Amino acid sequence: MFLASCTIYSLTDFEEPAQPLHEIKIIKKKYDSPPLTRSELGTLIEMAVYNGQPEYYGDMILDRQSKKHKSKPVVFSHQVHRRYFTCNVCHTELEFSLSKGQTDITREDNLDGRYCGACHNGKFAFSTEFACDACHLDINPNEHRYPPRKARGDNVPLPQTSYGDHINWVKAINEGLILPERSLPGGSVTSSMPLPGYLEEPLYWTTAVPNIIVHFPHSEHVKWLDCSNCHPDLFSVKQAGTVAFDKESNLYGKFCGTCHMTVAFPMNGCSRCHPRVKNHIGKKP
Amino acid sequence: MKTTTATILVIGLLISFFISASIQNSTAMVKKSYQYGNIIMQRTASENGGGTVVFRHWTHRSKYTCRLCHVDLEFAQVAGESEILEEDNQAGRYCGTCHNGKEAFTIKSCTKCHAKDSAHLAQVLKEDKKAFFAFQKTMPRSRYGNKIDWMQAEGEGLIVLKDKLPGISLPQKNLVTNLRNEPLEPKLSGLPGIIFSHSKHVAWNGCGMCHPKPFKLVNGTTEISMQQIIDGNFCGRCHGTVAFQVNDCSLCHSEPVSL
Repeated sequence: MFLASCTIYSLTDFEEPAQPLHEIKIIKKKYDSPPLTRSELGTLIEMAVYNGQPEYYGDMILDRQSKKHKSKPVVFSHQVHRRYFTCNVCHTELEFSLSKGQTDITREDNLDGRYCGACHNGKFAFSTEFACDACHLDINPNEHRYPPRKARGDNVPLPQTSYGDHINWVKAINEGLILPERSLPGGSVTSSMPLPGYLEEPLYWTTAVPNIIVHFPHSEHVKWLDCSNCHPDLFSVKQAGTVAFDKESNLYGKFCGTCHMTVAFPMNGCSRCHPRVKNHIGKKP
Repeated sequence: MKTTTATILVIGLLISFFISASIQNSTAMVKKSYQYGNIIMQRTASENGGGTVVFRHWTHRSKYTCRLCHVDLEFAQVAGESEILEEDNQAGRYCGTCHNGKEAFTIKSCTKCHAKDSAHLAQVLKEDKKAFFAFQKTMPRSRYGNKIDWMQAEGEGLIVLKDKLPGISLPQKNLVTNLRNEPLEPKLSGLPGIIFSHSKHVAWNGCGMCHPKPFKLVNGTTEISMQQIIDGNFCGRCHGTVAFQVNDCSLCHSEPVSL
């Protein structure tokens, strides 16, 4: 009750489809677990979503390898990179895992032109060989206490939101404010398959809560991702085939939460996926 | 007021504990290019990892066709079904067929395949990674799996694959050679049509690796779903383990959609 009373709600960011919602085909999904109550959901959201400064949202502090080799931790900023490259470039072409700690990037890899070293070679971007301090910072790996990461050209103002990094990346790409590359020079083809026609329209499905539905546009996702980034490892290819797809698992970083709690807009931007649900902004600072 | 807050927090913590316990094993298992197709055999390995064999498909498929090992040498297509014994190798079966000091290094140098212990295994894996990337740099690239376009590599003559071993492979009269492209209709309309190329498969696999099981002889009569393939059946037996991964949709869904 105390926490709930502290929350403030903003307007929604959902853009209404051309057809009224009640005329749209909604996939009926079955859920094993009962829905969360409003207060449980509020508590969970506040526990799980990012509450820090927007400039640091999506920053990864990598210290597994550096600790082993007694070097300083690495700060990787998704915000800096996603202006210039789609997710697909690093997470498919360069084999960066979607889960933190699974890639095992070594200095040897970088110097041999893999992972960071594929671009950070002194030609495409600053070199991993000499510009060590550009990424290795003398910081406590548990705190975002360093000047926010910036790259040249990051000054173009982008459309705002009220959660996560406070940037509406989808709007930014749709309005042509950013033009992220879909492939590295000399890289492979842009996508594994053009989006089939019937998937160009957004999908809608039911949640465990009556009257609340999910709006999912494939078309916005394939601007950044390839089919294979999500299928079949995160989501099965069968319609409504992904079981145990409930709010809690999403909030804890499964399914959509793989990206939408860490890099893409976090789940307090409720209205982005749930039409006519207000955003949950959380505690007033 | 205090008790309500405490209750909410306790409920939240309980829920979070329950959930975090249940999502441990759900992270996407995408294999790295240097690990793709590697088979780690340790059924008979000792507790400290001694005896473990890392079989690398990539070193073998850059020299031999699939058929040679999986038909002529009787290696099963499913890991753990071949039951390779020391005495088999000594008698010139399985690995021992080639690893005799003539075709390839001899099995007498045990530790070339068997790790001494876990430290040695880690070292072997590290060296394998290095060797793989050095090889990968010389090959045309693809997007998934080993990130090597093996078909193009053969087409360009970068790899030359042996299909027969003298004294082992029987001479075969190629009475039937099916090189047809078989069109297949995807179950969902709007998806690009599938073209199955016999010619690309026959060159490396012959007929027997796919027919009559799991594929019936008449095109389109075997009921296949994408989910079954992803689960490792039908095409997924190779495409997802050794051959290009099914993640690369348009390699099979290659017929342009006519709208």
